[in-house]
Amino acid sequence: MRDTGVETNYQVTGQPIEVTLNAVSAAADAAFTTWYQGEYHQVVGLVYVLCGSRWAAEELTQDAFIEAHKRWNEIAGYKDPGAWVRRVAVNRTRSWGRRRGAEARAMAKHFGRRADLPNELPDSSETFWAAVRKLPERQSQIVALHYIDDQSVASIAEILDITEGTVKTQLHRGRKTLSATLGLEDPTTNEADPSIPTEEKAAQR
Amino acid sequence: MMQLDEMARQASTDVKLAVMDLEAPPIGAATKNTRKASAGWAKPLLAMAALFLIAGTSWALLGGNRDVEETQIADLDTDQADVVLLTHPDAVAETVTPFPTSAQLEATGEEQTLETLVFGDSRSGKGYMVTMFAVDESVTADIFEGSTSEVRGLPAILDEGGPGVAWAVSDTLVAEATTMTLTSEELLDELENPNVLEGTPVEGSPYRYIGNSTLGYGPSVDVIGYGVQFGFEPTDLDGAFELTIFAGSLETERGLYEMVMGIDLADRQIRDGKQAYVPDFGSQQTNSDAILWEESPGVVALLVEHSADVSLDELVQIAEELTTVEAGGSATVVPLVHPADVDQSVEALKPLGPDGEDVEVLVFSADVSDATADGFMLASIRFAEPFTAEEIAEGFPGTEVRGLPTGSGEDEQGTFAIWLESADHLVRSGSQTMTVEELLLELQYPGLLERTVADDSSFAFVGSSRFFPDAPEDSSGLTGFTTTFGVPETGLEGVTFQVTTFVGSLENELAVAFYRTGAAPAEVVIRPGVPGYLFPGSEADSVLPQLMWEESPGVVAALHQYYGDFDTVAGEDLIGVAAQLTLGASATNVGALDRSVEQLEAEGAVVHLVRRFDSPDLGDIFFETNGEICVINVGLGTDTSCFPLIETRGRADYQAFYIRSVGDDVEGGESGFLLIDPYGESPVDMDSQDELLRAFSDAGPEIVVGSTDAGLEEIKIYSLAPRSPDELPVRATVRVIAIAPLPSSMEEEIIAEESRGVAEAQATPAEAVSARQDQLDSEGVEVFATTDGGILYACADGEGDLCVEVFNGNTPTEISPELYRHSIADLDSGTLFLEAYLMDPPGDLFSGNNTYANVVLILASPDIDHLNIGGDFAGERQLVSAVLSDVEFKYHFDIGYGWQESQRVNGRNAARERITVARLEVPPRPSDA
Repeated sequence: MRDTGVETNYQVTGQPIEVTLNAVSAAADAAFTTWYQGEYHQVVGLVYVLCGSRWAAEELTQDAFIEAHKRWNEIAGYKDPGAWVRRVAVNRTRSWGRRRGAEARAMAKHFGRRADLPNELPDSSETFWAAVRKLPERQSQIVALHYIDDQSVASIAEILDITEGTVKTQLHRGRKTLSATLGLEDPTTNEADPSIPTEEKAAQR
Repeated sequence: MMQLDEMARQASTDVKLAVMDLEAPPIGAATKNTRKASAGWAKPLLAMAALFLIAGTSWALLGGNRDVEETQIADLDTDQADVVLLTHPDAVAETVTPFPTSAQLEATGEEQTLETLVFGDSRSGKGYMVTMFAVDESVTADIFEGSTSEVRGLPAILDEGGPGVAWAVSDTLVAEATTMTLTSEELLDELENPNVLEGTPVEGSPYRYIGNSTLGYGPSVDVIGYGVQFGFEPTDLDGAFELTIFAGSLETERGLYEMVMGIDLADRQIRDGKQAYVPDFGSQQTNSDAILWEESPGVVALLVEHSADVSLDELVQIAEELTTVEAGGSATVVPLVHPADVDQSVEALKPLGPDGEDVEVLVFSADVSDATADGFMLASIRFAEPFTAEEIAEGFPGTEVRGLPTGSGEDEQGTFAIWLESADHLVRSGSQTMTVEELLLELQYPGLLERTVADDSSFAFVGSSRFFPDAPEDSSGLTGFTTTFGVPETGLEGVTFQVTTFVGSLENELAVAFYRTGAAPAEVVIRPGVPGYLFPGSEADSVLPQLMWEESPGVVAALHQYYGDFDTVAGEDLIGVAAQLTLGASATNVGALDRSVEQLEAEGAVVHLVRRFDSPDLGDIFFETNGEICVINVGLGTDTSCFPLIETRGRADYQAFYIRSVGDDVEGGESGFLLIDPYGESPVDMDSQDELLRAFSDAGPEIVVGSTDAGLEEIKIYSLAPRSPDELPVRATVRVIAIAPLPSSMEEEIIAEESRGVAEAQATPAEAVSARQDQLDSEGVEVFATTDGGILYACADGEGDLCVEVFNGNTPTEISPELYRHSIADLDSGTLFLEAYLMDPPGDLFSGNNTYANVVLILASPDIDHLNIGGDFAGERQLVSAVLSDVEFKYHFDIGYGWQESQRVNGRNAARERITVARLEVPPRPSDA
């Protein structure tokens, strides 16, 4: 069979079904695998701190990469496929909380309940990331990308599809909240709030 | 004091260390292998199968060593060992092999105790089994003497964890085609070490194998066969083919083929007039040719060509050659997985089919459960004209159709009916007895049955009942029905349980559960004569105890605590609950969501909105109590969140609440503005931590909301006007492009105005505007619009820019047009410059329906409240007007908008509007204070 992507939509039982088969070439598959292996641990770490559950992080991350593989022919041409998969992973993590109730019922058929793994992190780290997760959602995503994934402001903006200004603002506020919550010192939060535009500052007199 | 960055770095390092050893599960390669081994035309279905393979047990098998490694830590209760073996459910009684706790080792003559045992199945219940266990030393087939398993020698699957052995329970996976003969051991070798056979020339044959030989699948996915890829030797290696042999019904597979591909299959004969089918692509030249035929009774063969150079006739010829097998080489593949009567049913339906002109399309639903195990089948049929249930039942011998299910309906193709075949498989959960039709209802409309509480039962259903339409990735491949319930009036108050009932074989499910948990169950008694099997669970592995039993013949039940601490419920509790579950009771409707509403109202709260999710036990309730707006997420396990209610406005037919949240709020943003009206509810985010600008229109249904976070970037205008539920209330989004200082001359006036308080609207001399218009007219300048306070016209240079002049107070104050000259890209000072996106009618901003868009509004003056600008800037865009009174960036401004019938203005179509004005009273930003 020719290696061409096949996307089929057909209607059965009144519900649309979309089945996508992405037939990538051997070379592309190899490229995907290389990229995947290189990105996997960073992404699973990112998702881990955002959702707080390692087993869920593994599943969410795998889902994101499976999605990437299905679209590899497309996203391989992106300037940064990593940004794409991170956005997918972050979005899936965002949905995870709401979906997990329903999904857990499906998953529990044979497993019984699989609770989160016991804390694998030292208490101080667990405390830190728990505080990050208590930040407003956007802030927690930005803080996580900043710290765990070492992403620049520009990259975070691209991943989350927001402006760099928003990234700076939310990062500033997230850090400020974290400092206060954890009783830490953060010299950078003493700086002016980047949320106030330059023009506005000029007007404040 | 420790610094934030220092702690963050350490925390990040800890996380990276925690995930460092995780093995990235195979994605690309596993998918590829499955695809290669499959029939090409079955690709869509195989894609699904690939996912299962990746995530499910097959991956463990194909991956090789993982299971064996797990055996090193699994404790085996040998007293229970007789329940752990599995095979095809139909053959359980024949092939269960008592697990040998010890074995006589041929090599040494010594008796040795087997240490551990695990097993896996690639697709459980499909007649294929691999068992692996580790022993101290090598083991011979003598161990299994007397069993029905055929072990043809040891394939020697070893790993670093110690010696191990694997064998196939039966030889039914052996497929022989042309001169290829693989033993089960060779097949195992191939599974464990792909490509072992690759490149192997076939002795005496013009073919050689050029691809992986792995498990293959028929169109129905659940049918497992054996596939090989081969090519011509040696001259034409590009001529690649794939042959898959699998058990099944030719007619059924043909039907699935047609469903998947959406094309017909043409009749063809091979060898002695055997029926075969080939896809009829018609004029389509983009698909590979294939041929499907019945190799032997119950065994279907599929040959797909991978080369564009092979004609259909050539392909058929190859199929002829392939079947020229050596003596005794007929294929015996996996047992049938279809219900025995599926084919019969298909035959029975034929008279209703194309020949009879009654049935337009006959398909077996592949997305749900096309012919899953144990006589459980979901069929989907479209009829050209209505049929009664009785008529349909006549077409399915042995099938009880109790009236067309509610899920039936009509569409452009006629009557649409779905039902489950198998009248015997009622699914019981708790005190509830579900009919097949009810199950269908649940399938079609998840959540309908979730509100059921047994009247005379001590149980209350507190969670979703969920049908497993297709096999979850972690299941054994069976379908079932899950109900979550609580025990409100016993010693287990507050504990939630979950019972899953599904069609299947208890032995098989026990085996799967054992495989999953690695722990053997203890046999208990559910009811007299009804044994149950209690899996103790593992606190270390965070697996709760689970009880399984056979609820009725062919129906398995699994019960466990649903989310809770490990030691909350003991095994005895599960047994007690299970014993009561079978009490009969009728059902009434009460859902957790409604129960919560009733409770809140009883406590004096005012419930404003109940937002239901896809389950009556899942949803949000917005209510007002003690001066706060609260939201409780029922069924999601989150805490109730309350926010200070800052403002409530509205009329009889709608209400709006302005709430200020801290941290997480109703939608995950930082601030929430909740709109509730009879046409829908709109908890909306403005992604702001600062106060939202807000204005409620006294006269109209509009609400203006602006975020000042990170500067004023966006203003949204919501309309609570009547709308359909699928319409968004967002009427307009105004993006603030820039905020620039006012001209100094105006600043002085602003300051003066501020000293007098908020500026009041002043009459604008219409004479001044009129005079200016006359002047412009005389100069041949096109005036787009005039208002009480200003005039909008085309700039003199004809570059297409807009010029605006504003008249201040009673004294006409001509402001240099250049000051207010703007293009979108060229903005200078002195204005609050807005770009508005409007839709007419309201709809999705980004749906492409916003044909009236991109309107520019300009004004900056403290004492002109309204500047209504009408015009048709681009000849095709409708203008909206707005009024802005910006008082030195303290966000005292008014915004209004609206439109009315277009009229001819200056020879152009112009929308001249009378706006509704809302006044924003926004406190100064903290930074301004």
